[in-house]
Amino acid sequence: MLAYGGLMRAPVLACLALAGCISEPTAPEMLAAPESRARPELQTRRYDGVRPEDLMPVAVAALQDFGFQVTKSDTALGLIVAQRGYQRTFGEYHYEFWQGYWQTLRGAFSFQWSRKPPDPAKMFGPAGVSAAVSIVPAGCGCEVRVSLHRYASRPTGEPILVWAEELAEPEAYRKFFDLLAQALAREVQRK
Amino acid sequence: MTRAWVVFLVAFLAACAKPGAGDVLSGGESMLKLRSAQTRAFETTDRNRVMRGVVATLQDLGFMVTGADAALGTVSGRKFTADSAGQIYELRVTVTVRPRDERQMLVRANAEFNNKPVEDPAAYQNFFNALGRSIFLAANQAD
Repeated sequence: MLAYGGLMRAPVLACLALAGCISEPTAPEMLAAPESRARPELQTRRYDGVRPEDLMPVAVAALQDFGFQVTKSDTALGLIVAQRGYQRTFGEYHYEFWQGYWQTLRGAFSFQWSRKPPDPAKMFGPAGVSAAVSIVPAGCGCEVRVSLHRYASRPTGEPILVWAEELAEPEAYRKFFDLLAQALAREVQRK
Repeated sequence: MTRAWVVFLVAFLAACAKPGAGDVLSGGESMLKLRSAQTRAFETTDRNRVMRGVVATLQDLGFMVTGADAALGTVSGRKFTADSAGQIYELRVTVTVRPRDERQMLVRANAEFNNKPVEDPAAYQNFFNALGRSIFLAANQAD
């Protein structure tokens, strides 16, 4: 009888142990400084001999070249926030569809205290890219930092954000700074 | 039997009661403690320097900076993450910077995690540690 009871309890204990493996993120964790300094360096360039107020319109021109719409800007602070739509490639769409499908299946068959919904960003919401460009005085010139986030809106189509993640690909930042350099060169020629 | 009906009726009617404004805008001692955890004073008079530091700190922490107003002294950002089960968590932060006196700037951050106010002082401590490093100034307890 005792052995039978133990046998019955084992799956329950195993399920509880597995449920405990899902670690939920917390606010203090999300506000803790990252250990790596690689990303800020990737996102930052210094321009000697250029004043921040001169570089602001150049940065806006570079963002426009990429098809961004400026949504907020503050000259005193040297900040430009811009967004643009993002067309998923067939491969990305395919990958995200199956990932969402897998999450739904996993949610249906795994033991959880409450049913966890699948990640909506990995499903069908309209996607976009957001850029925050900060231009601050540094030495005899200025420093430009851009952070790029890929985001997804609510799958029903309203412009309500449901997911965003920072782009880690160096290629995206390199392209932005290449275009900024070209826009700056054009501005110098014009003057 | 009559008593049971009275208990049932009271419980039934109580469910119809709407929460008052007092529940929505609650305050008291916990609010003072929270405000203290959310606020730090920095030894500088340069408001723009602190605001730029706030923007840089939010970028360092991986936030999507959604807006800023130098005249009002506010910077806002959002950050998303997901656990291994695909559940999404969102952290929203608004930071305000205003002069305290002729020597100090007062920085207050308030955060919301999945639509609930963040009351854990450790979260704000982590943010102010990162901000202090960004602007090379020590954060002092304001109250």
